[in-house]
Order: sequence, then structure tokens, then C-alpha cells
Amino acid sequence: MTGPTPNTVLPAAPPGRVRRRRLTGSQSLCEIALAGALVIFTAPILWMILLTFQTDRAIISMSWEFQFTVQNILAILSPDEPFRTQTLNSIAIVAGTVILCGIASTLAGYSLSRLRMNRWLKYLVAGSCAILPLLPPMALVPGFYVTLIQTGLLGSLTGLILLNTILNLPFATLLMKIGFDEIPPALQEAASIDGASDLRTFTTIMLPLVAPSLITTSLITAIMTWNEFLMGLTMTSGGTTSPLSVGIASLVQPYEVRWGQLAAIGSLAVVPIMIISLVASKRIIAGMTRGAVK
Amino acid sequence: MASVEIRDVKKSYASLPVIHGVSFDIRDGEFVSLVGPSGCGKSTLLRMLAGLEEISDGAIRIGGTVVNDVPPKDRDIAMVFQNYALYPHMTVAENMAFSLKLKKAGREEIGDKVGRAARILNLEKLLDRYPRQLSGGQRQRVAMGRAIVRDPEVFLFDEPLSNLDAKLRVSMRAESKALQKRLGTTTVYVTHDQVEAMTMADRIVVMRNGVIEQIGAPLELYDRPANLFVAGFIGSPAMNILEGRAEAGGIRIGDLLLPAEMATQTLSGKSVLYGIRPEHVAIDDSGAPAEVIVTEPTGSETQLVVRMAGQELTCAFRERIAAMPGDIIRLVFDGRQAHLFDKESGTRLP
Repeated sequence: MTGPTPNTVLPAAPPGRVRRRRLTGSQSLCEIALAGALVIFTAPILWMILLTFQTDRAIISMSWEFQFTVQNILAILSPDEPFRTQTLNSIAIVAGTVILCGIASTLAGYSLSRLRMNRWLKYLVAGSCAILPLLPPMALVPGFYVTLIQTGLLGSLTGLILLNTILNLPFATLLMKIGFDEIPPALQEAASIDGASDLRTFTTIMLPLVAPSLITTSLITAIMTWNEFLMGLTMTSGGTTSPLSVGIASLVQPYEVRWGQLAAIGSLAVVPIMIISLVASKRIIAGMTRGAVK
Repeated sequence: MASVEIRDVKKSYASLPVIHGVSFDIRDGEFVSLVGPSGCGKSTLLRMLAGLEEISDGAIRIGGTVVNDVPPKDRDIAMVFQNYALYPHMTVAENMAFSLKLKKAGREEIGDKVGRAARILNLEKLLDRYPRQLSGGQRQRVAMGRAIVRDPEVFLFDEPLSNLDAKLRVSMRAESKALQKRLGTTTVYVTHDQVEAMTMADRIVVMRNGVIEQIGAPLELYDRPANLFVAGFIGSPAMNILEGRAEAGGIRIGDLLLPAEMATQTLSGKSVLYGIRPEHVAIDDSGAPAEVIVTEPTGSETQLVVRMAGQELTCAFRERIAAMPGDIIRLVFDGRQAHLFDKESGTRLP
């Protein structure tokens, strides 16, 4: 058996044509099932986008009809409605939470993964990270409410950023810990022999290598925060102080449901997340540590 | 370049001792190999030398200075890891320049040193590549380049060739040895491959279960193993060990009287272990009968596993032997090359 000689570069995959493979029965069945799942997952979103361009009359009509309109979009974007402000609120809350949670979870994940701490303290923190997300958020509302009143942050974006950070931090920390765990310890040791301080090793070696995990964590935090409803509802007084998720719910009134606007604002809320997911998925799969070892 | 002194160094994890007080010196510019089976403590000792593991007891001196509490970056050492530990997000040039940048070396100096190392290791065309774009052998060279640019007092190698295929390993072995001789840097090289240790090192330290079994030049270990463990570990195929009893004329094994140069007179009547290397057995009509069990022709030599006086032994012949399993051949032993070991303690008998 001969390996690559020292001076040769590993050859790239041949650029030959990819021949379509023949599907076996079970493979066909799998593909049909996957196509079905795709329809089930995407149909409600596509339906919602379709309703955005329908009049309310057409929506509640008993027969199938399509009356194209952009009124729903214009209505929710009008300065009289609070949705523009609510969207900006949501963007600010997501940005603040992602940054704060990203910093905190990276530092915590690194500590849990790499620092020589008491074993039991490590288990306690890691265990808490796993258990805290299981608690019903409603149980935390009274405590949070009192804390925000006492700190003067009730109804403020800062208050919501802090609460969302607290709620997302445990899971984000676990994800970051796993990310750091996957970096071979030899890299850290090589850096320490090369003369890097702990801080330098963290910033120049560990941080670039954990970037895919940080992106994944940030994406999940962003989605969770964007969709967060309970804290937005209970910690704000509604209207222009609340995030978009609360604004959407306000369109469902006791005597009227504005379906068209509801669909329009729903689309507005879903589309950014879908775009972020599609763009970020490539980065997540990038696998930056390939070639580090062996 | 610097000498290294290891004095009664011990290492324990919690209450579990893994290195039980080892002492030896490495001379300035010497190439010393730490060799032993998995778990013998050789890598731990190397990591203590690097400063990656704390020393539980004893002292390590590099260039006369005790380094027990000196962090790795201040020990003036360079290490090549088993998995190379190249920074995957940096190019070859950046990998090699990293330590110099940390030392705040000037751009020109960095360029010079990286260029020199790249020339030595034939890496000039690969400087802009990332580790993932390199083959195993190339990565190994980059890891060595990273060590060379630092111009350290001591090189530490932790099984750097174990991830390469057999052919590449042989060529990298020769290259690494030539490079060390050229640079003249004191080197500690950990390996579990005794052939690697024999071919590369000036001196070999054989370890087992956290203690040193023997220290010596490669051929010294081969010719005069201090105990049964070293006798079995150094040399491939391993030395044959036969149980017998010392008599005035040699060693009695069953009906056979095997020749031995040693003072069998003084050992007379004592149970001993008779060691003979496979290549010190020859076929001769005057020899004792042995039944062939397995034949292994390797091209350059023929190895036979035979049964003799109820015990199995391996023989290696430079000439081609046409024996088949079940055949009876006659073997003679070179008494000058025989080794005797104490049956209880396993230590060499004079």
C-alpha cells in the first residue's frame, strides 16, 4: 500500500458527470414520504403568504376565489398602526439578545469545556443548563416581573433583551460547550508552547474554530427570541412598546379577526427567519476543523 | 541547544501513581528516544518536559535551570504532536509564523525564518495552503517547520510518524534524523515503535509501567538487554525465551544441552531462562531436531516457527529455506550470542 508522497497535493475529485442513480423501491418510497413531509411543512407558510395578497372578503368567502390586493401590506405598514415600531422593537431585542447571549454563552461554554474547575461545580452548571429550559416560562414570570419593576426596566427593550438572554443562555451555553469540546486539546497545547497566553489562545485559536457553533447558537437564539411571546406580553404595556409577536396576537379581536393583515404580518415575521436559516446553514456545515488532526 | 536533566520525577493522577521516580540525563545535542508499550508513561514524561502536565515530585532541568514551575512558552522548547495540531484556520506560512508573531518579531525576520524552514523541509510551494489541503506527510513537515522556526533549545516529538503509512514513515524517519543532525538540537522522541527508536536515536530509554527498564545506545540494548522485558521489546522478531536448567556445559532444556558462553558453572543447578535471537539460530546437520510449524518467507529472509523440546521458537534465516510445516529440521544455537535471565526476577545473569 502506498500513501501520497510528501510533495504531492491531494487530488481534487474528478470533474466527471454525475450519473443519476437508479432508485430502488424503498428509496422511491422514502423520496415520496420526504416530498409529502415537505408539502406538510411548507403548505401553511405558502398559504399564509397567499392570504397576504387576498382581500378579507375573499378569504372568508365560502367559495374559492382570489382577489389580488396589496392593501393588507399597506395597512400594516401605515404609520397609524404600531407594527412598524413593533418590528423595529423585535429586531432590537433579537440583536441585543444574540450579542449578549453570544458573548456570555461563548465564555461559559469555554469555561465548562476547557478550564480546570472543580468537577462537581462543572456538573452542577452543566446540569442546570440542561434542566432550566425544561421549566415552564410562566413559572418565571412573577420573579422576572418584580425584578424588572425594581430595576426600572419594566416595559423597556433593555428589560426584554435581558430576559430573553436569561431564557436562551442555558441552551446556548450547552451548544457552545459542545463546540469547544470538539476542538482538539492539542491545538490549545500547541498554542501555549508557541508562546500564546490564555487570552491570546482563546481569541486567535479557539474563537475562529468555534465560529460555526457560535453561528448555530446565534441563529437558534435569534429564532427563539423573534418568536418569544410570553415575556413580550407580560412585561410590556402593548402597542408600540411590545415586540412583533405580541402585535400579531392583537389582530385577533373578540369581535373581529383581520385575516389578511394577520397573514401579512405573519409573513413579515416568518420570512426574515427563513432567509437567515437558508444563508446560515451553509456556514454551519462548513466544518472548519477539517484537516486539524490526522 | 541545551542539556536536559530528569531527576527522580514522579507523576500521580489523584492517588494513582503513573510515573514512579525516573532519572536520566540528555546531553546537549543528543537524540534520545523514549520507548515502551502503551501506558508506560513515556508520553506523560514528555508532556511534563513540555510543561503540559504538572510534575508531582522531582525536578526537570533544561540548560541547568529547574523548569518545574515554568510555563510551556518560557521553556524554549518546540513540540511536534502525534496529530500535528496544526491551526486549521491558518495557512502553512501563518502556522509557522505564529510563534514568531507572538514574540513580536519583525516582518522581515519572520519572512526569513519561515522561508528558511520551508526550504529545509521542501514546503516552499505549499506556504499558502491550509492544513486540510495537505497530505499526511506534508502536514507532518509543517508541524516540524513550526518547531524549527522557533530555533528552540529542545525538540520534543510525540509519536509524530504514527499517523503515516509504512512507506512514508520510513522516508520521514530518515529525513527527521538527518534534520536533527543538521540542526544539532537536543531531541526527545517518544515512540512505541522500537524500530523507529533503534534507527533514529543516539540513546534509547525503555520504559514500562512508569519505570525505566534500561537506558543505552540502540545496539547496547540489543546486544545486552538488562532484563526479560527489554529482551522481548527490542528486536523484531522478538528474542526466543526457553526455560531450562544451568549445567556445567550449557543449559539443559529437556534432552537438549544448549551452548552458552556465560559462567554456567557458577549457576549450575539453577533454573534459568535462555534467550536466543531468531537470527542466532542456524540449520546444521549436527544440530538438535525441531518440527516446523509455520514458514514465513519475507523475501529478504525466511522466518520459521518451530517446536523444539516442547517449546516454540522463531528462527530467521537470510537464505531461502524450503521447509514445510511438519518437516523436521536440525538447528544449532550460537552460544556466544545467548542470553541468560533469572527465572524469578527476569534480570540478566552475567
